[in-house]
Amino acid sequence: MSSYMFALVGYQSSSETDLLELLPLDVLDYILIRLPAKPLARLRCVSRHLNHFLSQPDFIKSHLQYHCLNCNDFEIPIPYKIVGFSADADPIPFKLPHIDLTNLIKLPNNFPSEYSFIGSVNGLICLQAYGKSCCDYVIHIWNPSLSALMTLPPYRTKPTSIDSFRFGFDSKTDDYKVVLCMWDFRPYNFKQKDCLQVEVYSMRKGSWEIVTQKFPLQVTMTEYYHECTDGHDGYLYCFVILTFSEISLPNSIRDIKWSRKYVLRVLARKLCVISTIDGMDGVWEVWVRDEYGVAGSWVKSRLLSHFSDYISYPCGFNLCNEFFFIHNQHCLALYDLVLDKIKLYKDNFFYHRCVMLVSYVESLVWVTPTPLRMDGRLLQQAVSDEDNIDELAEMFMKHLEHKKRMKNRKTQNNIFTW
Amino acid sequence: MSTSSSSSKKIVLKSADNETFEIDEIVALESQAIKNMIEDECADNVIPLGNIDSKTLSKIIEYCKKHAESPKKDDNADIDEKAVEDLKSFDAEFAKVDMPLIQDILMAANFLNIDNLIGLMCRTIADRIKGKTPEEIRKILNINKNDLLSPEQEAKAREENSWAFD
Repeated sequence: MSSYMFALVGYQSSSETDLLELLPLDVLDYILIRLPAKPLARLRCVSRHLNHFLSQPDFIKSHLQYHCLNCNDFEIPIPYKIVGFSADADPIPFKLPHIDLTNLIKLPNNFPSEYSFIGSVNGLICLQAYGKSCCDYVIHIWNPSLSALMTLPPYRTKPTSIDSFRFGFDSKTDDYKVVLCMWDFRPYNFKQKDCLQVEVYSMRKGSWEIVTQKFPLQVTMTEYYHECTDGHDGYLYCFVILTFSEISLPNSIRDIKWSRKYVLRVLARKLCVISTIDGMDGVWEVWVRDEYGVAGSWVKSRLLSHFSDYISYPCGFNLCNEFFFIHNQHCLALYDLVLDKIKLYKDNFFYHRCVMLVSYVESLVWVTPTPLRMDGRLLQQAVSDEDNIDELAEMFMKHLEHKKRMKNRKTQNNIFTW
Repeated sequence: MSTSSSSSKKIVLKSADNETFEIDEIVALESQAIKNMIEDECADNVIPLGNIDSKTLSKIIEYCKKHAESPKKDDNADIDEKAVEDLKSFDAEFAKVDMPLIQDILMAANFLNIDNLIGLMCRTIADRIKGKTPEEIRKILNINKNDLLSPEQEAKAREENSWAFD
């Protein structure tokens, strides 16, 4: 008898048994990875096996990757208020997909009506709401696919402007971070080159930390441009979590004039600069940085060449590389690459609003404060379960850490209810 | 069944309950595991499948026959759209069986390494648990009672995921 024969008698027939325990992990993965975030969150309550499987960082990561690659069928434009500017709408889904998500994409009822947008990565959206006084902001991280919202504890650094925060993903530590820089990101305020104070919030740690470092630094880049910020003197500063690197701009737009407007965006996972052209008012061009770390690898794209004079302000590219912009008729517009046509969205909704386009991604990144309720009951139960010794130790350390933090600072780590 | 089948090579599969199924080799080749066996020339005339019962095996053969007859995607660029639609509706009908049979088919397909069928069964299971409550899902998946969360653990899990229960 061949070795295959031997291999062909291997498992028990399953009719009366728990399928999920029986299935090979890769098949279980195949089933679950396709589900949207909310049903998966519910599955966590179904059984221990599922709870364990769905809480693994590896699964959360591959679920995210799957949905980033396969399910980006629409974007959410987030209209927001800036100080002294009136707008009052919830984010709405822009291109309705086959499933009804209108109920999902809603900020909680008691969310402050004045907020602005900090950044978005992997389906998480970071917003800043205005506090009681000037420069007093409350930072929120929102996962629309789970309709979960977390409010960050207060920070210590005093932000110098509304534009002091950045939000990004650190792939090295698999952590989401909010960075608060003491200086203003706007070029004319950007003089303190030597040293700057940075305060970083780590979602994993659940706390802020102050970091001081020399600037700029030579660093190695990761494959994504987590966060970019406008610089000056013909340089832009790429902001990668705690490290900075300096990238020179394309030669032709290097001599930044005050009249020149430009924004940094990402096109097909590459950094790009969308900039006005000197002497040609209102005409925009796109430069794509072809390869990271290779000097002078900027390539001018012909993308906007024949309609750029309609652009009032570029919003950026979505993951299908379609271009969104504010049309000079004051409405949101999409340039359809295939039809080579501009589509206008003359909805009142977008009229004279600040719009940020965010990709909707089903994301399981649990936006909850780290589990810290370590009361006697839970502790006892954990002790009785001998398998959980390591888990217990970890929980206990977290608990101590949390206690310490609570002592040092009066943190408020609440979740909105709705 | 195609007319050429009478002249083509036959393979005999034997189920756990000793029922034999004679099928065209081309149908058996849908299973990567059997294909490997045949290519390596280690297949005897009769391939015993000691853990697949005849009910499951006949369903799997039904599936493999249909898919073996249909034009493969990589065969040529302009696929007959009608054939694709036809295969789709066949798959949809095929998946309309009760959960225990789906489980058996999935396990057997995984064992025989039939990629398309694994995918179809996985999608079917995913569709059936979408939008259901934990209680309903436990019933659908026949979750082992020993594997349930303790009341405290469940309360905690529900609290942590409270936004998912709106």
